Amino acid sequence: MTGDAYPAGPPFNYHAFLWSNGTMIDLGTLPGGSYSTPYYQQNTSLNNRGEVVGYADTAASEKHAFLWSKGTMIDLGAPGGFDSSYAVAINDRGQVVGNADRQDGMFRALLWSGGTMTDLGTLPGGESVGAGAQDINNKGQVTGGSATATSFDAFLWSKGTMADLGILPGGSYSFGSFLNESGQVTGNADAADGRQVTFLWSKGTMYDLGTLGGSSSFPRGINARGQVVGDSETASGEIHGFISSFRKIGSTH
Amino acid sequence: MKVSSFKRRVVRVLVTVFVAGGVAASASPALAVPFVHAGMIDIGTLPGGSTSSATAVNNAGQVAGSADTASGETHAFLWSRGTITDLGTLPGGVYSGGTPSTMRAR
Repeated sequence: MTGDAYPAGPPFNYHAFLWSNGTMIDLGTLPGGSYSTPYYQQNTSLNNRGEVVGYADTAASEKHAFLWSKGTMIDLGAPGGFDSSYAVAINDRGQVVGNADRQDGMFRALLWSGGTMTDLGTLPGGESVGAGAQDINNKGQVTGGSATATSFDAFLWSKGTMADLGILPGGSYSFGSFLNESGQVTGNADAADGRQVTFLWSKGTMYDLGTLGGSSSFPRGINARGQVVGDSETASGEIHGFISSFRKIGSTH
Repeated sequence: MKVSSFKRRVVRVLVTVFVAGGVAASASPALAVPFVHAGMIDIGTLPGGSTSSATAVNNAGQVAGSADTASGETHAFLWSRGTITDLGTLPGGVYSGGTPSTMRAR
């Protein structure tokens, strides 16, 4: 697992760490930098090769995406015109996705692969706002969200093409958070009644997984069979974990 | 995790990456799916607890996460086919959690 911690002694800035086989490894900082942190919001910042991604400050005090591999923290840089980037996910081939943003609010979804940084672009009509990446699978498919001309939609990027996964009926936005090797995507969307629900997108259809009776839920993972887990508010206002249920009505089991 | 912090987390996720542009609502595509029921099942809590969080699922449908206990500790759990099992803590400890790397979603 990964996390961050304060090293002993000044300057008391936090460093990313990798916990492996009972040992906590300090991932350090970028040259001239003062801190580093993995991307916390999802469990995607560590792969099966023990590589970690996140962000750290540079000697010029910019926030840059990093890849930590084989004991070295590598500065992944930022695209021209952007002074801030962060990495959110890495697959088992060492491909990394992340985002860049700047003061005017524009943001960009990025893929780092084989030493090259690629801007994944946006859905049609979203060029002036941007797109953000959240996860990459071992096939190199990426999910996240992009502005469109009229809404903000989850996308599945594959081999250079960004596909629009749509929104729920009556909703205004969606974004993808995790995907599996089959390209099934889970993320969040708003429903017609304003609840923020978890969705499963599979084979061209976005399914509303709802909540446990409360006003919001969000996913934390998806397995190879398309089962989704996450957390939801319940009708009484507690937060409980959930697992998705999905059955074809009328089919035999 | 309290509701307020949960909501803050949700808002933070949205604001951090996605809701930068003030996007407008629009007509949605037809997504009617008459023959499928999609929803979610409550993992529940540990005995005496009120909060749980499901962080990973393996291909057998087993779920790992963390939940609070009657005494206010946070413990890792494993959920399988409707049964939640408290994985306890290390001797003398009051906390366990994290996501087993073998149960990560890829």
